[in-house]
Amino acid sequence: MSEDAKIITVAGKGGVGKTSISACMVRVLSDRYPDKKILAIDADPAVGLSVALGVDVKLTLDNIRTSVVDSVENGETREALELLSEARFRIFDALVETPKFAFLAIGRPESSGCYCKVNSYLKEVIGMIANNFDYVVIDGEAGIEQIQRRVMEKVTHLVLVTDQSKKGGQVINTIKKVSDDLIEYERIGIVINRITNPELADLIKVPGVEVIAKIPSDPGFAANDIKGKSVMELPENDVLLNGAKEALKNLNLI
Amino acid sequence: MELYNKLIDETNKLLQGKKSISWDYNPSDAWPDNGSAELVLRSDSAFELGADGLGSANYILHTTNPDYVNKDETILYGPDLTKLRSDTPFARIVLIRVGVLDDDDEVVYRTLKDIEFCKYHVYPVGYMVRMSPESFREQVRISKDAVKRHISFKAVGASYIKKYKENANVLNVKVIFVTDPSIDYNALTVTANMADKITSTLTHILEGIPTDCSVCQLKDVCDEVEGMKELHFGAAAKQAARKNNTEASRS
Repeated sequence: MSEDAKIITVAGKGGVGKTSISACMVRVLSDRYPDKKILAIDADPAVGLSVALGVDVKLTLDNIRTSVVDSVENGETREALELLSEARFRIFDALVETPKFAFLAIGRPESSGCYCKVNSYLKEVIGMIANNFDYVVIDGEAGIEQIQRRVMEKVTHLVLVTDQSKKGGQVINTIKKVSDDLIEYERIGIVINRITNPELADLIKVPGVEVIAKIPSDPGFAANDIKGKSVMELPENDVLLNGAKEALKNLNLI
Repeated sequence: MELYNKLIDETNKLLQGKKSISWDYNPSDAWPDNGSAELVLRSDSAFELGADGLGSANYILHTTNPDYVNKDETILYGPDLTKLRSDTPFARIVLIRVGVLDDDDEVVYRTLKDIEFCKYHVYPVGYMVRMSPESFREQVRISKDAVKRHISFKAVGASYIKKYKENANVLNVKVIFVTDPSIDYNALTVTANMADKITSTLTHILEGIPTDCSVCQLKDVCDEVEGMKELHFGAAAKQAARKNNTEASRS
């Protein structure tokens, strides 16, 4: 168990490359620290991180939540400790373990009905599991909803990803403001991705937040993806992979 | 507290004739405790007890009868942790002798649940337990490191007994571990289910279910378990008396 678990959340507008950057971060961390426990959490309902990392997802946390809710609705009355135990039991069915990292997909949390009790147990279980890893990389849902819901109580490093669009910049500004109010983090940084005009990248600013990586458009990554290869198969000199490396370096994580 | 005695008999019958080994409880035998839930990844585990696809069960049975439980001990049916090399079926059964519980029914129910929940606060290092209250399965990953340090059921059993005995109502504890593949784990699961039903029925009794057996959904459990009906009607009588007292004081 690691008291000093580094929990890295990658957030930003939809379509800016959060999932690719999250996957690259998992690759960089697992290459750099083969003896450390690394967990990738796919918090995007589209479950794209699993594809990027080449993981086959059979069960999501929401599947577990739904089955626990169903059992409660069917008259299975359980006490708090038992519900927590049941959630912890089943979360291992959703935890995919690979030789280099473990993987957990959230699915669509709180997609139907209000089951705060079950949701809060799941949140507790996610925290319990995550605290047992040395590094946790969370590929966040687009926008700020998840931060508002505080799926994770604890984030140590917040990575705001944007492209060169005005909207992308606005979204990370909003995420920064909401995060300052709702979550505690140790470090924050901006990754500007898919840069086509390097001069314009300087126009993207969030007061008080350092740019930790500027990543040009990466045709190599797209080619790898279209060939059905995972991020784990990217060549060492890949542009996006090196961008993720630079971001982690600037956050003092490698 | 004789509600579970029939299930103790059935458990003994299921294990009858199988080779076993037992150790008297000594607190100093307890395996070091991690203090909180530990994660043992598959890559770090030597093997898993009750792994997916294999038999797995866990349950607790209470009694006041010293003929069933008269000392603190750990009993093992099957190979010990030091001998196992691969995933194996598994059951952990706990028999508890409690003192005479003559409090209000609600207090008795709470007492039994508190004793049962001790299992959620035992965290032997390198022994990652996950329990399903719905399926009665208990799966345990044993870390390679714990195997290297010669973890044994004697030590883990002592850890459990130590925790159960922190409850003032617990007189004696018998922890039974089962890894013998020839034992009928499905039958143990059926017993676990029945034990859970008995405890759940106690809760329903406290909630004041109907006293007309012909319309009661729990009739099957009541018919099956000796003493349940008496407890039920006793609780109903108390409720009626309380209601009458309240109405009398109002008038």
